[in-house]
Amino acid sequence: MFADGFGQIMEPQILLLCLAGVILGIFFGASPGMTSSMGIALILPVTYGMDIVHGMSILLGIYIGSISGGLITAILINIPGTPASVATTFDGHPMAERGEGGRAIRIGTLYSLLGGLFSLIVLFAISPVLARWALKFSYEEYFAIGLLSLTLIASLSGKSLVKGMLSALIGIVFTTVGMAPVDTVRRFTFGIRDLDAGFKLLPLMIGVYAVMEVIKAAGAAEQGEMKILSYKSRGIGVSWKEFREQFKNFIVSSGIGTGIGILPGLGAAISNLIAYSVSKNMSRHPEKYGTGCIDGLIASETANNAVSGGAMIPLLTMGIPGDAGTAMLLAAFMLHGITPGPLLFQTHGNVIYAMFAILIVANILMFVVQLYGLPGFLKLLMIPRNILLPIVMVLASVGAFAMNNRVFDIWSIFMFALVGYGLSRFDFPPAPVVLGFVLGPIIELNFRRGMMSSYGNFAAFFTRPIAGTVLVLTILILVWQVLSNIRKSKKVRS
Amino acid sequence: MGKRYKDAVIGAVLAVLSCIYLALSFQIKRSNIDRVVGSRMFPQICGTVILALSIWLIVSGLKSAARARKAGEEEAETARAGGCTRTVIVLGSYAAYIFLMDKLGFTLSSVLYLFSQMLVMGKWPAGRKSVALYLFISVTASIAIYILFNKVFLLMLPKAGWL
Repeated sequence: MFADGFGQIMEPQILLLCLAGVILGIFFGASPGMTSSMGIALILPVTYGMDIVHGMSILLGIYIGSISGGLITAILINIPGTPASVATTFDGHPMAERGEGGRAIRIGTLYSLLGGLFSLIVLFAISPVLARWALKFSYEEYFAIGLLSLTLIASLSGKSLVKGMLSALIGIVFTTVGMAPVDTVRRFTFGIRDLDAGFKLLPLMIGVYAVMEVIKAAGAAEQGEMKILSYKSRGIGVSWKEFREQFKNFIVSSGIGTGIGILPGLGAAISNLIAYSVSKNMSRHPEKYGTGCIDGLIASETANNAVSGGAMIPLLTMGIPGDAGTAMLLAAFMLHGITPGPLLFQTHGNVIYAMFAILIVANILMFVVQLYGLPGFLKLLMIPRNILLPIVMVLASVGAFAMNNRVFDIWSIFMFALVGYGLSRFDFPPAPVVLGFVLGPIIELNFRRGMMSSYGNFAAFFTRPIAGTVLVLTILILVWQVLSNIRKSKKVRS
Repeated sequence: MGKRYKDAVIGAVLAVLSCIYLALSFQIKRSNIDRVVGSRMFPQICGTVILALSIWLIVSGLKSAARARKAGEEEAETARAGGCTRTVIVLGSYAAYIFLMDKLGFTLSSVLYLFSQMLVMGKWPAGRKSVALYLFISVTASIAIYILFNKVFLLMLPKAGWL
């Protein structure tokens, strides 16, 4: 079946379509404000006249290319191309600042490929088992996992845990604007109709990261510090010794990415932050994270690409899209008359195996395009920042506008820029704001649903084995974090 | 206000904002499932935790400021994210860009925004050559982005208000 899948796609036309998809995907991923779902939505009409395998080859190419493409701008100009590469900026950009931008992209690209392939192997091997396991997850489990993910803020908080927690809560507060989950009651909308739909993640990310970079560049120009970064690039990025040293980090991050991909609704936006935090907590040298160490970069890039295979599991086996990108893929399936679900492997087995093959080929093409396109990407660094960053801002604004065809989303970039600037002036870390914004709705929705299904009895959350274990773990981690923070501040004082 | 009181100040600001947020949360309409867990509950939990953490920040900020004062530490100027004047110009011109997008349309407002930003963020005063280059890049980039998204990806971009 597997060889049959490859046999179906080994046509020059399909490979060219896949390549075109990957290049487009990398463009969408690298442009702040553009996402994989947007890319797939824009290209979807082009695939109407194609058969399913041809159509999926370009769409899956975009899907794979866009997840990885985000690393380019994240590393080179400290602006994540997509929410999936926020954590890539933490160590990727410091590497670029010290002239290792090329190496950082090579490492990121290599581990994007490896993370993607890891999740595809999992997809081939145990997708039905994992899908059944994921079905056991109910509101209580999602709530518990959301809460557990929030405790990872400590690793993203920098010097002050309190400021990290406040940043995350500020992120969550923005998610409470608009229609409430479950009962769709309007909250904090003040009669403004545009606020009914609430704020979106992209404007927040652009406001907090991209506009801040423009402000920093403007500040540097004012102080006469405007400089053009140089770069070095050689080989594959990592030596064999480094590869062996990073193996555990790779496996853990791939596992996290694949696991998050399997659970619908979580997605790549948090996988990179969670993998980064876990990698930092596991490391013997957590102090090196954020200074341009490859461990953080590898964790982020492995995990966000590992989501791609993981997200395919609920999509193919149950017809449940894991994130916005796979939701667009689901639409593409349906347009071609295929309904994903438990029977898909029996009714359209040949299509499924062709898709597996396309995903592998797309990952390899992504690796080749990014590696060979590297000299071109690095030329970004040669463009003066006063020219590059305003163009990035215009592209980001187009991306925000394109989400809902409304200027309001560009205004929200401006508002988040003010918030981001205010927070940075008071040394609040920006990453927890993003994490809080992603996790807030997951926690609230599942908390409310869980409470409703247990008729208001919160203890019921602890009676379910998975949810109970995760909640107890969350409490233990929280207590440990607070105690170690108090101990640390006492040590600093003495 | 000295730099050493920075945490106490932001703590106080957040405490006030969380109180306003909490007060507003009481105005959220009740629905028929409010008996179990209503739409107010989550914002109220968030608001309360923010208030508690803000108070913590105020107290710890005041304590560390007092310690610093006792130790006679000099107030060190921390590195700023950007120079103040240009920060205001950067944010102001972005706001103007969004405002003008509805009035002048995407292309024209983008030309104006790009040109002004390149000038603001570049070396000052800019030479004639630089000004010509910035103008050229602003026009070509705006038109290229418009063609790419409007003509190739068939995405509707904001049009001028009078059109």
